[in-house]
Parts: sequence; C-alpha cells; structure tokens
Amino acid sequence: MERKRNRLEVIRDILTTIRNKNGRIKPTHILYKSNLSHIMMQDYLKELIQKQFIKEIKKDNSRTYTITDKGLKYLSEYDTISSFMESFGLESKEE
Amino acid sequence: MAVLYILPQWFFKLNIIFEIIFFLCTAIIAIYSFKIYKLSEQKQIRNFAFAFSFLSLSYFILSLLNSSFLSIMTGELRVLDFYKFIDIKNIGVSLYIGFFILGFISLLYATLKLKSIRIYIALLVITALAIRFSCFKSLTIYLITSLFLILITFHYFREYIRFKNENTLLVGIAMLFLLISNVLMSFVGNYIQPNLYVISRLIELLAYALIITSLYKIVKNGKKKKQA
Repeated sequence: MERKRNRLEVIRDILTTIRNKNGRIKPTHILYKSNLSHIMMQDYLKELIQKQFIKEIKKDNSRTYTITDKGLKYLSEYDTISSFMESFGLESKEE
Repeated sequence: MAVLYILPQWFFKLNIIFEIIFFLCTAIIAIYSFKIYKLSEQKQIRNFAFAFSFLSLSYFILSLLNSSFLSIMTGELRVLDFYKFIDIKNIGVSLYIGFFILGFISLLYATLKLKSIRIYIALLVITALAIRFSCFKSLTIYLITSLFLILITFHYFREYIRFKNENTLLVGIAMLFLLISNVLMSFVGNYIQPNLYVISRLIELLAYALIITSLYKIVKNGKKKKQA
C-alpha cells in the first residue's frame, strides 16, 4: 500500500499542478490532479491563499488559481524545507 | 544563598567561551529556522525557531553574567548566586532562567507538534510555580528541563525509526547529550563535584556540534539538489 502524503507533499503537489498549467487552473482540475477530497482541497486552497502561495481570480462566475512568486519559491526550495522538517522531527502528520 | 552552579576557577574563562559558542550555535539554528519558516509558513518551524531564539538569548545573558557578575567564593571555585543579584535588583539571572525554561518548553511544544496554546501556558505556569516554591531551585530547574528532554529525545528516536533519516538520528543523539548534560547540571549546584560542571559543558558542546553538523548537511544537500 502506498504511503499517505504529509502536508508538505500535498502543498507541493497542488502548487506543482498549478505551475504546470502555466500558472492558471480551475478548482476542478486541482481536485482531479491533487487526489484530495473536495473539503480537504478547499481547506488547502484557503490556507495557500492565506499564506500567499496562490491567488484566486474571480471572473464572471468562474474561479481560477494562479501561483505567486512565493509559491514558486516554495517549490524550488521544497527539498530543503522537507529535509529540515524531517531532520528536526517537525514533519506534519500524514493527511 | 541559592547556588545555580559552581565551576572550578581554571574553567572560568573557558566557560565564557563555551557560552558564547552555545549562543552562536543556537542563534544560527534559530536564524536558519526563521528562514525556512518564511519559505514554508509552517507553524511547527516557527515554534522551533522561537525555541532556539529563547535558548540563544539565555546563553547570551549567561555569558554576560559570567563575564560581569561572578563572585569568588573560595580560591578554587566560582559561584553564581542568584539571590544576591535579585537583592541588588539585577534581573539577569532571572532572565537567564526564564529564557532557558521558555526555550525548552517551546522546543517540546514544537517537536511534539502540540497545537493548543493552553497546554503551552499550563506548562509555563506549572514550571514557574515549581521553581518559585522549590527549596532547591537549581535542582528543580535542571530536573524539569531534563524531563522535557527525555520526551524530546524519545520523539527523535521514534522519528528516526519511522523515517530512517541519518540527520534525525544525529539530532536525537544531540538531544540525548543535552539530557545527560542537564542531569549532571542538576547536581552541580549542590557542592558535590565542581568538575561535573566541566564534564556537563563538554557534553553540551558535543550536543550543539551534532545539531550544527545536521544543519550543515541539510543546507549542503539542499544546494546540491537545487543545482541538479
């Protein structure tokens, strides 16, 4: 059985999905790609907006998400962040 | 007189150097942790950074105190007497104890991933009361921090078994050394064996060297992966 992802990995996967879609994506696509339940995805998106890793763009009746510079920086430094958290025993519980 | 610790005369100058080294080590860990927090916005990292900031402040204050306020008790020993300082309205020792305790409580809070601020406050209040009403303050301070370190060390060894990460093992061994150092320190204030202080400080130095080694490996591997 595959190991469940921890919080850092879920955030990485969501941000990678947005980045790979040229930095703009609909929530349904994130849901499909990130392999999360709808409620969990909403929680993560809310958290990522609050932390300024992504931006929500509302146009007409649709919502899209775009990655920010801070989000891109997270992705480029992901290995160091993950290694730091694991080494110092700060890894979040698996989701 | 309430003695926090006793150290041999010959170790006096070296002791200040040790405390400056501990201050620098903990400051480096705190600064790097804040940098990682800024990148990741993970609360555990922020709490961890604060823990090492508090420890760093405590070592900084202690090095200042030892440079300025140590009084000679006998020809052989130097004694840090904190009641005397309170009498002369010097709050340095109280600040040192405060930051030292705050550091270990914050470290426990961060590593055990406690989320309730009420638990944090409860730990602080219980610890402060235990020290305030204890007749053996030095013993109480170091035994309480030793208790925290038992839980922290256990956590790191459990994490190592889970992830098999070599750096986690290094940090776990470092915490074990800090635990041994704290246990030894709890006996130092009781005139039993002043040389225990030197042994305790050497073990503490080894502990911080291991943590810094672990941090260095993280930075080095991070750079390598980024370049790849």
